[in-house]
Amino acid sequence: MAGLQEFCAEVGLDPQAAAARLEHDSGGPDTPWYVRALLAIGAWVTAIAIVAFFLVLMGLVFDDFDGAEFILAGLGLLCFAGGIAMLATVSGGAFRASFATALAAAGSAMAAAGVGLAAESIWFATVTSIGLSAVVIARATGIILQLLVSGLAVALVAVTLITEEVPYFLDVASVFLVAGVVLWCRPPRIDLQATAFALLLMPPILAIVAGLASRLDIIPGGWAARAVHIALFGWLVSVLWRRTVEPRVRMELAAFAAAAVAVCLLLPPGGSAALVILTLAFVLGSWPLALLGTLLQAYFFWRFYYDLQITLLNKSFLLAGVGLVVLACWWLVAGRKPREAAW
Amino acid sequence: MIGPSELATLRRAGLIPPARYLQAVHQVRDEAAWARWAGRALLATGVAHLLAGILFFFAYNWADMPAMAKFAVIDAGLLICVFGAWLAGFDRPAGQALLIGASVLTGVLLAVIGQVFQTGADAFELFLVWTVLILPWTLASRSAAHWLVWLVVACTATSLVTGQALVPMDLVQPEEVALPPAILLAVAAVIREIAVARGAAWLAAEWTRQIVLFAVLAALYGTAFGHIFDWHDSVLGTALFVLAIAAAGLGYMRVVPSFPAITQATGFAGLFAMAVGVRLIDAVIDIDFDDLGRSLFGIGVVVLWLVAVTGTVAIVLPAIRRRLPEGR
Repeated sequence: MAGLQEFCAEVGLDPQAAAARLEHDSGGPDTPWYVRALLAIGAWVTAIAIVAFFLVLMGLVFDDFDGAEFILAGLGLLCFAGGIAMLATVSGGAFRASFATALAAAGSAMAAAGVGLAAESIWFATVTSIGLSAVVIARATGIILQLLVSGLAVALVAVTLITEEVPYFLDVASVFLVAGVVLWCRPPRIDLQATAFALLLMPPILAIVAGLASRLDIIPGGWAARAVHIALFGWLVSVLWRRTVEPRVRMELAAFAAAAVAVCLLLPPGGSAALVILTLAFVLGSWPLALLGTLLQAYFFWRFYYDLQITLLNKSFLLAGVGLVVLACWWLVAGRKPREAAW
Repeated sequence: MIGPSELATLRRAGLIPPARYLQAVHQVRDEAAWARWAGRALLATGVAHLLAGILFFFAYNWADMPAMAKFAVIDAGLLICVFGAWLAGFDRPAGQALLIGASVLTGVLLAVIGQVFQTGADAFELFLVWTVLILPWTLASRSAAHWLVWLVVACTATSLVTGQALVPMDLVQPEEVALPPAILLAVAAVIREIAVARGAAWLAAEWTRQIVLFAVLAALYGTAFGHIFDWHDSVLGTALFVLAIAAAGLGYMRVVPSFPAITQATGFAGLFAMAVGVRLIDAVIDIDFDDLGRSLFGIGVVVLWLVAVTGTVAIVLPAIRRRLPEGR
C-alpha cells in the first residue's frame, strides 16, 4: 500500500485527477472478479437461450432455409446493436444490463455463424467475430460483454486453426499469449482486461487439443512457441530485475530464468504456457491469474498423460527432469532461507 | 492509501500511462506475500512435476525392470521422503513437501503391489488402505496442501467404495453415487471451520474453504440437475443440495462471514433456480419442437426467467456484501 501523493509522484499521475476519480468511485467496494465471472456465466446461459429463440423463430417464419444464413447474420447484427444500445443507456438496473449483455453476446454469435455459413468459410465467421469484439471494446460496454464476445472470437480462432489444418498452429497461437501478456503488463487507456484474459487462455487450450493433431495429420509445431515462451519468461524476469538492486535477489532471478529456459525446452508448449501465466500472476500480483495458471497446470498433467505422441516412460523422464530443475531453483531461491512459515 | 482495488479503478479510468503500469503495480503489490507465494509455488510445481513423473513411470509398468527393483526404488523413495521430512522439520515447507511425496509414493507402492502380485483386489480397497495409511502423515505435517491431497484420495476411495461395493449391494442407487463423496467433503468443510476456530492456523487460508465448498456444491448440483430434468428419480440429491445451499448461506453469512463463499452458494443457487425454472416452464407450456409457435413462446419465457435470475444475483450479491464485516 502506498499513499496517494507518493504513488502519483512515482507513477507520474496528476494527484488531483486521481483523487477525483477515486472519490467518484467511492460509493462502494470494487466488484470482485469472481462476482463478474458468475454474472458472465449467467449471461452466457441466457445468450444460448436467446440464440435458440431466434432459431425457432426462423423455423416458424421460413419454410425453406435457403438463404436463411443471411437472415441469421442480419438478426444477429440487430441483436448485437440492440444490446450495445441498451448497455449504453445510462439508466437501467441489473435486469436490463443482464438482458442487454446476453442479447449482444447472442447477437455476436448469430452474426458470426450467419456470415460463416453464407461464405461457407469459418475464416469469415472468425473475422466477423473479431470485428464485433472491436466494436464492444471501442464502445466500452462493460467487462462482462467484452469477456463473452472476445472469448468467442478467440475460441473461433482456435477452432479455425484446427479445422483448417493450419500447420504449426501451436507456434501461431503463441502470438496470442504474447498479446495477452503485453495487454496485462501495459494496459492501454481503454479497458481491455477481459480480452487480455481471453488471449491468455488461447495457447494452453490449443496445446490441450493438440492431441487431435495426430488424427488430423497436421504438424502442430511447438519449437517457435517454446522460443516465444522463453522470451516471455526473460522479459518478465527483466521486469523484476529492474525493480531490485540487491545482488541476492538478482542471483535468485538468474536461477529462476535458467530454470524457466530448461522447463520451456523440456515441456510441451501447453505446460510452459501455464508456467508463463503463473509468472505473470507473480509480476502483477494477480490472484485470478494465479488461479488460472494453477488450473491450467493441473489440466496439463491430466491431458499430458493421454498424449499419444510420446511414450509414458519418456513422459515420466521429462516430468521428473522438470521437477528436479524447478526444485533446484526453489532451493536456490527459498530453500536456503531461514525458517519460513508453513503452507 | 492506494491498494490493488484503487489501482484497478485508476487503470479502468485510463489514468495510468501504459508504460508506467508495472511501476504502479510495484507500488501497491504486497511484496512479502507474493515472495512467500513464489517460494511455495516453485516448491509445489517442482514436487508436482517430480511426483507426476514417478506416477507416470510406474503406470508404464516397464516390463524390463525387475519387480524387486521397482519395490526397492519406491521403498527407497519413501524412506528418503520420511527421513528427509523429519530432518527438515514437519512444520517447514520442505518437510511438508517431502511428507506429501511420501503419501503419493505410498499409493504408488500399493499400485505396484497390485501389478506384481495380481492380488485381485478391487480399486476401492487400494484407495481405502491408502487413505488410512497416509492419515498420520497428513496430521503430522499440518499442511493445507497435504490435507487437500489426502481429501482427494479419501474422496476417490469413497466414490469407488460407493460404485464398486455399495451400489452392487443395493445400499445406494447408481444415480446417487456422487452423494457419499459430497457428504464426506461437507463433513471436511465443517471440520475445517471448527479446526480454524480452535486455532489451526495451517488450515486458515481462504482457498481451503473455497475449494472444498465448490466440490461439495458441484457434486450435489450434478445429482440435483439430473433429478430436475427427470434423468433419474432420486430426490435425495436435490434435498441435500438445497440443504447444503441453506447451510452455506446461513453459515458463511452469520457464523464465519465469507463473501467468496456466499458468492459460490449464490451462484449454485442461481444455477439451480435456472434449471428448476426451465423445467417448470417446460412442464406448463410443453415446449415441443413439432409445434414451433408453442416452442417460441416457451423459450421466450425461459429467456425472461434466466434474465430474472441473473439480474437478481447481480442485485443480491452487492447487498449481501454491504452487510458483511469489511474485508470478509
